Amino acid sequence: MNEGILFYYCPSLKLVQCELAILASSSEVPLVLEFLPGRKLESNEEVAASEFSHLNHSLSHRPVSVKPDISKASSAGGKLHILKPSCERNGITPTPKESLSPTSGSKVPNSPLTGKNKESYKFPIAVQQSFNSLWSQDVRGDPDSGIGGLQISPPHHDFSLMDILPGKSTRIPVKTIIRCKCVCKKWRNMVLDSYFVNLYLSRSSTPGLIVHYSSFNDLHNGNKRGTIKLVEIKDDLDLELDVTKLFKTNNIAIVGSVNGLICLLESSPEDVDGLFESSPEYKGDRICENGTETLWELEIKNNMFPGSEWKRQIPMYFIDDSNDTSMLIDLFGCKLMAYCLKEDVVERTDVLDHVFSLNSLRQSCFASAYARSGEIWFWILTLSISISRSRTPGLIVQYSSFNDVRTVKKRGTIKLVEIKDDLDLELDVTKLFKTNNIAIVGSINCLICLLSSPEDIDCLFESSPEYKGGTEIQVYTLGTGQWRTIGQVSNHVSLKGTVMAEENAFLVDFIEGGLCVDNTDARIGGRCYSRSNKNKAKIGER
Amino acid sequence: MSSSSSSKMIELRSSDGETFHVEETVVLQSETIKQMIDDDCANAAIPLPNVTSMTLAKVIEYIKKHAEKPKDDDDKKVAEEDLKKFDAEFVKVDQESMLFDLVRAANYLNIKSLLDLTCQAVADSIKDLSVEEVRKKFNIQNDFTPEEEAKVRKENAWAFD
Repeated sequence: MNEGILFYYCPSLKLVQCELAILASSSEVPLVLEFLPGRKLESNEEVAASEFSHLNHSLSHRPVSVKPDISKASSAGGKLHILKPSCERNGITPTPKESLSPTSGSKVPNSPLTGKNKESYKFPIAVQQSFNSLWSQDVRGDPDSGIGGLQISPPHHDFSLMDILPGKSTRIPVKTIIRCKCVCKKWRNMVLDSYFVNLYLSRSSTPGLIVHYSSFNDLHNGNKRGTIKLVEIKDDLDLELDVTKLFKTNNIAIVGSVNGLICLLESSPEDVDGLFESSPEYKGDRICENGTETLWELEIKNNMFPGSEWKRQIPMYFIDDSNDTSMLIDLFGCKLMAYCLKEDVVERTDVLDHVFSLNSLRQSCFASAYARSGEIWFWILTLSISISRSRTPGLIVQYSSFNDVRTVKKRGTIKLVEIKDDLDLELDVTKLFKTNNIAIVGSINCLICLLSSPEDIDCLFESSPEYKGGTEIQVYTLGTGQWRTIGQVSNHVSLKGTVMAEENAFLVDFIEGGLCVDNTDARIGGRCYSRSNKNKAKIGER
Repeated sequence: MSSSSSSKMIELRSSDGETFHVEETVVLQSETIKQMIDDDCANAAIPLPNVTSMTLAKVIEYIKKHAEKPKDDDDKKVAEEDLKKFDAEFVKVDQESMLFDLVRAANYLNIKSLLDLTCQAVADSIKDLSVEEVRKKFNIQNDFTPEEEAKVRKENAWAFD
């Protein structure tokens, strides 16, 4: 298994993630946090809820200090402290394949959210539930119903999908779940809910590939489009997934992939711009061009999340643009937090609806900010650390930079970086990459695919890492139309010639036991399908 | 319900006030009650305000069956078969709501195997149902407008193949 950060876009929600804190931040900015295993809570929702509201409280009364000119911060010293993941926290025991047949129900798989080491990487159910009820009261309609499963025999029409997921090995076919979306609004929202999705995914013991379709919003008129789609690929990974069929359109971009999940961005034909407009922007050591923004430092308290602790406080930055609502988001363990400056709330259900697969990012964090000034959208810094749960204590650093929104200049090259076994090290990212203009395109176990951005290269999407069946990672430069080898796939992943029958595929992700390759047309106009590797490249074995 | 076994008996009281006497060794399958016993809170009758007597009787039937220990290896195989059959029969309840009650009770009492069993039973029961059937089963009001429903169905058409 490997992990990474998913990038996604929800412009009208005034938030975006996936930039890099590393480069833009000064060396004083503690970039690191550790997400400690949650202490066990009583199954008492009230306790959790009250702690959570305390969290709300502490956030809204955050101590802020003005950091007027982060843009002058040294660009040199971004340091990543890499925390060595402990076995308990990260070890995933390979699970035996288990069919979805009902007879398998009695087998308890060792899936991430189940098993004895449950509290080592997840919030206690009660807390999750309280999150849910706190964050989605409006969409759920009746927060007291069904969700907790602890109520006194409510009438059974309150019974919902959420109620049967506590069964550690409950298997529901994806199609059933998707059909359930059509039952009523409450169920639809439930299926959209990230908690549900995470729970479902974590329960899946099939080495499935699941495709999430991330909806995104129209930047200008705020129209919300899209839905999430889940696709489960059965045990046999040797199948083709025709994404175009799934999504009824060709305008799909792969935003990222994590742990067998692919995050796709679909833009409607008349709105192909949206893709690029909603790209995060990074400008080297500058936060943004406009010098008038105020940068606030928001301290996140240790006690924000019951059952979890931060190793240190992390300051996060966002731009306070008085014209708009800025939002800060952060990933805590498997939950995403969003903080909206204007609304002074910590939660946004609709934000959560756009967050998926975070269950695989239990030890990661990222923050980002987003502000609007006139027609210009600024994208600021984000830090992303993700520690792989692979058998090798792989580290995946995600570091992304993107396009200039206004000039639509797109650039990038790709670098692949392998982090060695010993994770107890500091990784000076600037040192590694000799530049600040780096984007992480994707990550593969402990390989990182990076995009560095000298001023002149064309397009992020066009220069997505390309995999051609060999061991070379190549870059396609739009302007010249040429392929250039920029790296080698590390030889402990042997993929030679067997993965793709066709050229023009690019590597999307490794999933457990297989390689996932995508054959997306560079202009996002063509056929998209994912296909997994038959020969099961051993990942993470050395 | 009382038995002449030498094992310590634990008294459970359902939401409707009925008391059940169960051997401690049997009732330890419930993590919730185990915790109470460990904390020495189980000297008086344990109130289970979330579990009706009907449900509780079912639960006790289940944990009693699952507490049976085979004598030797041969017996073990037979017992396993037997238990499987028992489980399969156990979830064939007359009323749908009983199954839901059992899920809740298993959740509350934290009996993992029962929770798995009942959750899967619910999951299986909806697996092949159409949207309309699911609504009927759960007594859910369709709150989509026709347009919305058409839209959501269209979006998810692939799941209806």
